[in-house]
Amino acid sequence: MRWISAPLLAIEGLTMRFGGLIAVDNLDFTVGRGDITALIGPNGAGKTTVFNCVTGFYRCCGGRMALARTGCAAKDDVRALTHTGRRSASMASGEIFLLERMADFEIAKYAGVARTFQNIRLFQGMTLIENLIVAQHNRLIGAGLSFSGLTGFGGYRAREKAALDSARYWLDRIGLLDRADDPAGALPYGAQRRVEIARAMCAEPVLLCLDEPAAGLNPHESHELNALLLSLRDEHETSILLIEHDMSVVMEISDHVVVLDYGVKIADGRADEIRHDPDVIKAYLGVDDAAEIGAPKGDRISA
Amino acid sequence: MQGSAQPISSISSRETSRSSRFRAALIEAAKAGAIMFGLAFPILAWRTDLNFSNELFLRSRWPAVFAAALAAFVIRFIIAAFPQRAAKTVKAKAKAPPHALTLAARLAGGAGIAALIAFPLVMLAAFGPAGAQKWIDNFGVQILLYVLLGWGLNIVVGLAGLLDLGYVAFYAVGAYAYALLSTTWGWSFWLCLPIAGALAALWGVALGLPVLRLRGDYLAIVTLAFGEIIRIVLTNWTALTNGDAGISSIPRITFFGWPFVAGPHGFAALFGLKYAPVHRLIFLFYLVLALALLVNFLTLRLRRLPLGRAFEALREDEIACRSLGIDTVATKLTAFALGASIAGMAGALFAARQNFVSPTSFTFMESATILALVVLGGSGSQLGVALAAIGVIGGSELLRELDGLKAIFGDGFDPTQYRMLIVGAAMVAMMNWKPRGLIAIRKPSIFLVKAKPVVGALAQEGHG
Repeated sequence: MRWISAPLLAIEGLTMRFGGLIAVDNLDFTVGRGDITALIGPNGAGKTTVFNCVTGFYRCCGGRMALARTGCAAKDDVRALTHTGRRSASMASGEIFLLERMADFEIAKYAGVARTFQNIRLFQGMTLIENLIVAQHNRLIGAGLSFSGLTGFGGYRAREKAALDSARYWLDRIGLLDRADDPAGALPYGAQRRVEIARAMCAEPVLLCLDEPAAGLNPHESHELNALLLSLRDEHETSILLIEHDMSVVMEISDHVVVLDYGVKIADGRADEIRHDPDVIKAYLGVDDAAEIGAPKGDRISA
Repeated sequence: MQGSAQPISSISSRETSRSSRFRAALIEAAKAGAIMFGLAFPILAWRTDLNFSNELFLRSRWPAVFAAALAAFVIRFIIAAFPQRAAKTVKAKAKAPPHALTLAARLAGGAGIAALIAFPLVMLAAFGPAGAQKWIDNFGVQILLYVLLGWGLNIVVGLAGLLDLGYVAFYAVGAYAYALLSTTWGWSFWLCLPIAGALAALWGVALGLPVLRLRGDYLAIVTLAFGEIIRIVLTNWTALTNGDAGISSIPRITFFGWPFVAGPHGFAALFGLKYAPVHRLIFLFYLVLALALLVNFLTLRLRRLPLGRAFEALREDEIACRSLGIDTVATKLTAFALGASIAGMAGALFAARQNFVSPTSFTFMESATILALVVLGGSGSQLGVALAAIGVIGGSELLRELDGLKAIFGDGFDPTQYRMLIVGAAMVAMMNWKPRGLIAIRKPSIFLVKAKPVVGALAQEGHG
């Protein structure tokens, strides 16, 4: 129950409206440090909207999103920080960022949140290694470093070498080291998905948000993806928040599942609790259908 | 390459019989001829002219109409009847290994620089001090100025993917900065050159700030408007700029303080040479060349730095950039400022070359020409832009030299009138033949094992 004892991200009352449409309505949930948290729900439930709010691509209409880069987002500290009017501070429980007060790139740069996209957004005309180096932009940029890079003096080269090493490591991890100098757009779909995850990891995030990472993968590939995500959690101390429709992925690797329907949270708990939750089954299958089919509840979800 | 990867169309066309292909081609060609006839009839068939008693009369030009229709018929027939040559699929082209091309590009680059350094001396040897002036000025300096402008715009359009249709505004800012500072306060060219660059960069940021949220077509329209605003302000603010009459007697360039004049204090006397006006042009040529090479060097270096990579990433996918923590606002502004400062310095050089500036030099046509250089050359390719500048600017200058054609076409023939027609036709041909420009390969900015060039078809064109 790390999402209660050590919340990394605490979302309270998150609301997002598009004109008259309420996409996310007063949503509360927490993401535990070191957990793989799955955000599931039928199409149009508002999952990607939550993602876009957390990563700053949407300005939410209301609510609070507190992320602890270190330590945990304890309620009292988050409340205290909110009242100071600042967007981040080192509090007793950890270094806390209020994401709703930050722009998208600042969330990635300062709070350490990286994400992937439902429709892959690689830099297609750039090689894999370039994609992974661009992800380390903020570690390589700066007036002094730019001068050093232009003239060849100073510390730029050492930093670039470190960035290359990191990129090489991640390419090796996803098994694409031999394609390092090929353009990202020339890779098959499944490989592009892995590159997007590797690129996000190059930014050394504390929270990795994956929007349908298994979409379009074959069973073998999604099995490999599971192993990769588990290793990110266990070896790299990266917490993962993922949206996924593939229940084999969700049920196998998630520590914590949050279920949305029509912008409202309908269930929240461990994976095995969720798969037997009647509300979830109703949301996925419709109550009449479930009764009609008369199938065992758990299996219907995982099918 | 075509041998190994046969385009599908040529295989299928071989199966169809030759006669039916020719018949289809004839029908196609007849249609094209008819359309051309219909188009040419209202435009070409009649011309109003004055006769000797100053009366208007209609003169028919039926041969021209039939010639146009016939030309359309023949060209369409050739294209339709020999599809292997015309319909090369894009896919087959994208597979061509571009390794050899980069080596060729590097060799061409080196040879090009050597040729450029030798150019004024060769011209001097070939045409003498008086005859060489035209070649060094109209061809050498002018083409190099456009190369400089093209390279500046290449940072904005080619690397960062921000379509800027008002680029000439920064050129104007630089030119007027030098013109005004030198005529009002007598500041020297060497002081004004960096100031012109800095002022233009400032205007680049001023343009960049309001348009940051715009993309694609919207950005293009606003930059176009910005270019026009600058020109119209220059035209109407007569108290400062002297309006359409322009600013004249701008100090010419000096050799680090020694003017290019006859007499004891001039450049010629300093080196014990016989005074010739061509000295100034040769110096100007080398100055523009040095600046262009410096810009080229810095741009190539920039591409391998995080900032340059962020430019290209911005062109590829802005949203992904933001998700990786790249400050796209600052990155875009830097791109605008860098591109603008190069145009500003080119403007100062332009004013020093002409010793006269007026708003008519900074029309939208200029922006379009510079953009055409970038597009024709291949967005992002330094060598491509330079080649396009030589082709387009050199080509249109060369038209002036074709007076010999009067012997064939009659005294009324003026080849320069066909400039835009030729440029337009060249554009259409290029976009069919090489839609990504002359050099459509992208060299990776960093590599792990081996730098493999990326075919242009994969690179994005940018969205804003």
